Amino acid sequence: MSSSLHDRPTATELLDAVASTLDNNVLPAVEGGVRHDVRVAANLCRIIARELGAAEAAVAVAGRYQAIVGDDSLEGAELLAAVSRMVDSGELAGADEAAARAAALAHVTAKLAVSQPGYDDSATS
Amino acid sequence: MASELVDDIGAGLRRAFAAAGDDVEVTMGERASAGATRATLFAELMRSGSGAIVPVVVQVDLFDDTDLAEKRSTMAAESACLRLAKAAGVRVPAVLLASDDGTYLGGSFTVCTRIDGLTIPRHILRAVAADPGLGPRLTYQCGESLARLHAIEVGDVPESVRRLDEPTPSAAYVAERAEAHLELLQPSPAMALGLRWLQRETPSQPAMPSLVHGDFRNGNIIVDPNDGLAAILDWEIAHVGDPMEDLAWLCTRFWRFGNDHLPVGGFGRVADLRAGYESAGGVWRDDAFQWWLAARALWWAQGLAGQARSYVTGLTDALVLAASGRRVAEMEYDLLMLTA
Repeated sequence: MSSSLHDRPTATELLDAVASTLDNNVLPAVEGGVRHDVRVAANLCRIIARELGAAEAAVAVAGRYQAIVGDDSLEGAELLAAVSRMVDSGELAGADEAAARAAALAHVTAKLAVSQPGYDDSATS
Repeated sequence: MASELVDDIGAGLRRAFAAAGDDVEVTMGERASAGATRATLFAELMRSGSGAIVPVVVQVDLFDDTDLAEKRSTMAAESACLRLAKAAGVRVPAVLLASDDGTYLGGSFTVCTRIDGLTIPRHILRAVAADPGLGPRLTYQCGESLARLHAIEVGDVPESVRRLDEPTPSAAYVAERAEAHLELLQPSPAMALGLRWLQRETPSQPAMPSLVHGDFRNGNIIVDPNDGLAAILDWEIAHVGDPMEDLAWLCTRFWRFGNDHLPVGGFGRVADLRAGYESAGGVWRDDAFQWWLAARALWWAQGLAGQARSYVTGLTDALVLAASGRRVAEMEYDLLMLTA
């Protein structure tokens, strides 16, 4: 059940509608470099729509990073900065570095689920 | 600082050629692309008194300095690299005129011969899918051309071309990455871990540093569907460094455009690239190939983040550059896989 006070369509539904309109109505009507912009715009709408539904995954990633820095009050950019600083300083070694790597992979995988689903399914090299 | 193209490019070109002692008529064609840092235009030249028409590509630099891209060579230095490459048998367009004087067109510029063929990566991959012989041929030719490029006497490379080889190419490159790491708009644990790995692992070094193209990939080549590699474009971040850097970048997943079963640009196999490279005298170092794959993954993660930053800070309003922020995760994933 959505907690939004706003009317239907929901934000996600509207973003899907904008993306479909860009792809199906705008793209066939434009030429040249604008076509690429239209495709990018439609893709961004779909990314944002997925991001709106991915709040739980973000919380789980934050929990793993908070465990590494030992401070569950940190969030967002501050939390990322604290983890990065620990890595940069070289104070993480062995099992701690492996834990940071596992958390970073979970973080990146969560971002890919929003920005490029399926990217982490196949081999990279 | 950004500058603007002059209104009458044709007249500016005519004056620039005249100043170089060449009397030409100029007919402007369409504007091919408006990149973030340079404009690319098509034109036709006709020498006075001769009926021969030469199709050319004009590139004008519209930023003196920018955080949209890697620190770049001047147009004059870049075209000096192009001339060296051509003399060495690398497939490149001929430079007709190059100047760092911004008074003619609004920025420093080059004029090169226009070479026919496919440039859009998806068109190249479609041609490769339609002709089973094209991919292996193109891949082998890429290896050959890179070996010829890397064999150029470094002493002949102009002073103004960046040198990334002190104390070693890999150490110089890691130092640059560490510097860029501090400038991230959003801290990245994945990039921090990748940087640590690069600092810890040291690849083998080339016997000699080489002139490196720096951006040799699907998207910066012209392909003739019948003959394969027709030309290598976009020499703006050419530098002196480790030749394996070029081979790794060509094999980076980002530039396969989804065609992941063919690691070389989405069109070929590493064995064919290596065979072409070694046939023209190149020395393939596999450990360095792996190291540079990771190094360039971090570079491009930082590059995409930098493009996003240039949007967020108001340096550009290009949607494509804003969208780059949401592609950083792909490079972070590759980086983690390559450094596991």
